Amino acid sequence: MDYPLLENKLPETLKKVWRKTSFTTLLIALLLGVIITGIFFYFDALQGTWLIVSLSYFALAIVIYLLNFLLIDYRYNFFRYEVTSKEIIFQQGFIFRSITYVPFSRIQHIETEQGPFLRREQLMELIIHTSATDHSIAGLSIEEAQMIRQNVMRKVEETDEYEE
Amino acid sequence: MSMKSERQKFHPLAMMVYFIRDLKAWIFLFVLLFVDLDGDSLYPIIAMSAIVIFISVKSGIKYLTHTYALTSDHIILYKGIFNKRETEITYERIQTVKQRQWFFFKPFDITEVLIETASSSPGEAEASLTAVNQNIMQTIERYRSKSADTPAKDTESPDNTFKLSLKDVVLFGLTDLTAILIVFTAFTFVLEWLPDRLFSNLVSLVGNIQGVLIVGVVFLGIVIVAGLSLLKSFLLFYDYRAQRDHDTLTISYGLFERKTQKIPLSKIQGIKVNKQILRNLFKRSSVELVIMGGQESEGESLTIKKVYLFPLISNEQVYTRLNQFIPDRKVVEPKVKKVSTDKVWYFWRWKLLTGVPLIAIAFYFNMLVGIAALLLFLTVLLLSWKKSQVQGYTVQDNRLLCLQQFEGFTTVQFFILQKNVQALSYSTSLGLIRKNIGHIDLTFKENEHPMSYGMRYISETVTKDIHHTFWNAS
Repeated sequence: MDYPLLENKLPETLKKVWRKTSFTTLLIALLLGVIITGIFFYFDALQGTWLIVSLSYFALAIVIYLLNFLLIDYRYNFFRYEVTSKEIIFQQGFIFRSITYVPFSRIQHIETEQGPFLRREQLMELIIHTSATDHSIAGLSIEEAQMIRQNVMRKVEETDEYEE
Repeated sequence: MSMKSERQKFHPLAMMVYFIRDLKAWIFLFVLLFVDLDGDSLYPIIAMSAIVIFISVKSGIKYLTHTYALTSDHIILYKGIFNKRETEITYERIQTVKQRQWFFFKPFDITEVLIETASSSPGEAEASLTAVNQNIMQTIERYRSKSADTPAKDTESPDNTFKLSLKDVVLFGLTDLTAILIVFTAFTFVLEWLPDRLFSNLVSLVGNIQGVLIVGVVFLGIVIVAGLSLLKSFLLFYDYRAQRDHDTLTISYGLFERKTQKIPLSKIQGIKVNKQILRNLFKRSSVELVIMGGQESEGESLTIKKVYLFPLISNEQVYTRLNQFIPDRKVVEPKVKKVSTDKVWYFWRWKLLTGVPLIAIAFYFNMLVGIAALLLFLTVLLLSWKKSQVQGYTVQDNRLLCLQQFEGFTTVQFFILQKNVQALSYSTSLGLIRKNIGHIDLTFKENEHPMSYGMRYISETVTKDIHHTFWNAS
């Protein structure tokens, strides 16, 4: 039961971003539901099966939101990363957990991304591309993101010499 | 250097190829017009001629504007009249070079050369030299081997050619499980489609003409499918040859449209040794290669989607031959350590959860449907039991990982080098952590898509062992 946890946690402020994102998603889902239900209502079709479908949609949206929202604190503990001498390691997930190892020599390019919520908290998402896969660290402080990017790029160049 | 002087047009036969390809794109319209061809109306004929003229002109323009240049360090392709486009490919970026020869190319020693790089843009091969002289292939290979950074070692042995015997071509066609599946579905469809009355007659009246007819039709169906499968196998694998010359594999196959593919050993991402149930009865395996690069998706009907090294090879020979052809992996017959023989429950639990209620419902409605569902369910359980028994791994030489899996009636041994794994991941879930059980996945690139291969429900000691002896060893 001793599940290995990586060295670096993400910044605490990321929780705020996640809360906002999950709330916005809920709002959008509800809005969409209201519009569609409204259309059905307008055409007097909101009876029987459609009423049940519509109600269960709203219930499901709220339940998913609540689960998501309540689990943020737990999840946060399991989103970690580590940069070692030869690879970068990603960890994520609370219920379904995974640890992914990406050697520097496989990295093709690195991207940073910043949505409005992340910008607000001065965070950045770091995405690492290999020739087959993408891996991301959900949020890092801007300085940290830049530092890791430079660090990793330097190591990529170093290991490139051994690659054919 | 000045490139202009080296710009060349393709052979005029390229027009023919453009024409045929465009015609293929319009074929549906032709069919439509033909259907409409009942009256005295001239319009369909006019429309058809218009299309033919349009395509001919287009092919002519294409021929005049598509040009290429070969220099010692790259290939350049030019196209376009107003919007000119140049594609430049350096030799070291080339993943594979393929050759395709239409039957009408043969008398002129002309061939089509397809060049693939590892770019991620999907679709056709990056560069196609539509119709060029055959010896251009040698020129490209020469330039390419010069730009390769590893000097070509003399690793040749007298045993560096593989030919598929005629007997094996036949065997390949007859043991093609997809074909057998077609027969099976056709068979069940025929049974389904027959009225029940005939069905009962069939049992008692063997002498009945209708009964004989039905049995005859079914039998004929099987013969036809087997025949088609054989034909396909012949068209594809006629005179199949694989050959290694220094660090390059050359594979050529095909009856009407002869294809040649050159693969440098260093571009091979992984090797799959497949032991399909039926073929295993004849003591045969087949070997497939996993290669990076844009797979042409031109939709030719008779292309092998998979890259076979040995379509069929005897079980005793497979590993030694593999070692002769791909010596840099040092493949030996794997001593697979089974990892999940005691974990059948995990392979079954979700299937039981969904299957049992479904069968109960089926029985509730209809006895026959219930029995059919039960049989299907038992097959599924049997297959996943087999999966749990076959799954295993071994690490060879601390650098080559062999994973063994059972997939769709085939035991697959997948060999991959550490340097070809793009990412390694371990995953588990809240329920499995307590039992120290998880999954492992290796992601690599096949053609242009990310692919992964792994093992399910394995204990932590196994993942640790793989991490130490394979991932962190080199």
